[in-house]
Amino acid sequence: MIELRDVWFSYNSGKPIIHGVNLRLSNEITIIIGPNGAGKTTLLKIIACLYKPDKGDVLIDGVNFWKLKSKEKLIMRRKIVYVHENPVLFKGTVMDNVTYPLIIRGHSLEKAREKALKLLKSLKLEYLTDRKRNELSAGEFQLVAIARAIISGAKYIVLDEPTSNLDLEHRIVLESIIREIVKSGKQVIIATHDRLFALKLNTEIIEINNGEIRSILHSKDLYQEIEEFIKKAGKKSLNS
Amino acid sequence: MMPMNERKVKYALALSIILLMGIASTYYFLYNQSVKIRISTTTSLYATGLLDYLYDEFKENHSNVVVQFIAVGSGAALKLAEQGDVDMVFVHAPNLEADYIKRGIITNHTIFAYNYFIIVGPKSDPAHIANLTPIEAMKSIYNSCENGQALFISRGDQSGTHQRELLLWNLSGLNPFNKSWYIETGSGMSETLLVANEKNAYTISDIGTFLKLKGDGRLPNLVKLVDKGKILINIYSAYIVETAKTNSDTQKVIKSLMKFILSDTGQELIGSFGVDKYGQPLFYPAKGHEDELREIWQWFVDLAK
Amino acid sequence: MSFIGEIIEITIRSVTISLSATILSSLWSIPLSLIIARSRSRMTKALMGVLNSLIGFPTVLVGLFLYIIFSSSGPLGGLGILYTPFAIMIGEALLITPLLISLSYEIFSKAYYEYWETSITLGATPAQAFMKLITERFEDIIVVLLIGFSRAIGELGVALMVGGNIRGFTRVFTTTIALEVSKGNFDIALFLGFILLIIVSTTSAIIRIMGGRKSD
Repeated sequence: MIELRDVWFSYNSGKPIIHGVNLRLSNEITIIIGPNGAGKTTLLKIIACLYKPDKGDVLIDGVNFWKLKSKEKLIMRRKIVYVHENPVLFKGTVMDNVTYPLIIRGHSLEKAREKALKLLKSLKLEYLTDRKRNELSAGEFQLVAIARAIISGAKYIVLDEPTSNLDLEHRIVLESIIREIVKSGKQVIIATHDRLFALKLNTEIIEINNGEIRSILHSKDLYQEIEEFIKKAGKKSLNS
Repeated sequence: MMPMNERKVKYALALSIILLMGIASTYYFLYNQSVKIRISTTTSLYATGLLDYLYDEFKENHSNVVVQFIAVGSGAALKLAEQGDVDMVFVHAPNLEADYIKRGIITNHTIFAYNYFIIVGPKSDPAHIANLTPIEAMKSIYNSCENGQALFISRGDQSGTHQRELLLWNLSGLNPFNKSWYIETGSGMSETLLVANEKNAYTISDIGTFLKLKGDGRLPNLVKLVDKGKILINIYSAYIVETAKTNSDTQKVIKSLMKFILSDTGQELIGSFGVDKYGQPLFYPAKGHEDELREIWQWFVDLAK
Repeated sequence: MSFIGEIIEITIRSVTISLSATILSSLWSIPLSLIIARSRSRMTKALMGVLNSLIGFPTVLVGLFLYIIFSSSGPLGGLGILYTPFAIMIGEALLITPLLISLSYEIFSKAYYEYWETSITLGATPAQAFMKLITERFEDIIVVLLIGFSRAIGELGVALMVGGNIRGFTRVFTTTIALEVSKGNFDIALFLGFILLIIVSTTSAIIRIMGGRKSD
């Protein structure tokens, strides 16, 4: 479980972006929604232990991360992996990218390749193995970045706007990937402003705005909201 | 370029560090092989090539000795001595030297050569200074400049040459500063001579630089007008620096270098230097005129007071 | 030594010293620029402002400052490196530090910073993340180093003040040019300037070619 206790954060010691957030992430899938500029990315990076809060604690499985020594930090950090909204892939092939988390953990190249190939097969991305980053579509790019995150073996997978670059076909792939991750006993935290996607994952939703938690909802609540929206939109278009 | 991966970057990094250390240690070994003495000197003296010429001869019998000349302005050359960064000083600024002698920084005053500063000017010589004494010449230049017939270019950089110019104005009882015809270049002798040539102006130069540029045909408008007179004598002295942290090896070398410069061979080399190139010597050996030169040196020190 | 021999020697010495200085400087400039790029503090901006203004700092003042430090009566006089190639190397390395930091900061502070974050979150140690970042921006870093090299080889103040322009030991391009000008040997000075120009313009041609390259 990841827990945030009274977390405050600001850039360049300016206006706080996150103020006093308390959060316990214990569900298999947690979704964070909110408008642009609500502080979603900042919150995710705090959850992923990439940003150190100005005040407050981040607890990973009960351990206060920012009080650890650097060696212990590495071990804890390897439990969480974060995928950017617009992720970057490294030079080289998809294979080189997907093996990277294993290589830095000391795996042999051979073993890493074997594992990577197995993962790519299971995600039906095998056909991309030897492509370079400039030979991928936006959707493929995103999926490869997620595959690279999964192979790290991290227990918590944090995805920032994973659907923003995806077409319908790839969204379906992503959904199944997320279900696979959950099945293997891992936990997924997703930030999105894509309500339809949030709805489909059928789980707890945390709504934030201006760096604060506004409400804790469930996908079902979104269903009504969307239903009403469609009704209104439908009437309007019929009337015109 | 080849696609890079971490391994290649690591190699590149390691390679460059090895390269760095290799270069460093090579220099270090070369550097520590021989007895080394450092001499600070004025740029004008070094630029004539006399010092490298003497050193090349000296090296014939002292192959394990490295002499390093550091050419800077007159003031800086003595300042380096004060800081203890050089073992010897070769300079030509009596009044400055006297001050450092008094403070015990430099000793073993040895006059090894002399020559003359020259007053040069346009061929037409509007001030009619040819064959005048230096002081009369300065007065005449002043008058002619005031009448708008001529210009005067000054180094304006506190060099030995500039100091001599100031002494000349001082002895003439004239004050050219802030006059529109008095142009300070603030740069080296070559640049100053070129400016004088362009502007058809008078200036004061050392003989070596003038002959060199004249020989290269770069000073078609300038001629040497006054080159005699005690006040134009330029005395070159060598000193041993007391503040330097020398060991006995370097002290031995310093002594033998001093000896070499004053030896018959050394003095002959000084007297013949540049004759092949310029048709006349750039320096006169001090041998035979020691007492006289020392008197003149003292006279300059007293004049500056 | 013959005239040509001496010029070749000076060329090799100049390039060696300036190249070593550039490598030396990169050993601290690149990690420092990364630290600055990573810092979220408000001080960073002020620091970069100071560094940017230091880029144009008069080289002769850097030289004077180092002279005072390296002089026998200075704090580091005991090392005995005044008037050696090391002194020029260190001086040039310091001289180009603000330039290298500023230029590498540009590289790291932009989107490229994500490479660091990505490596870290994928489980890399800081050292591994640093290597990854260097690898990803290798061409850009080489370009930065070449700019630093051009600056180092073309400067006079430091080489003259702490090198002393000693024949066969610390005489480099710029100090030779200055000396030959004061001797009135303008043709030699121009010839040396021409060689320097070739070296610097070859360097900048490499920079342009590499800078124009789109990384794959």
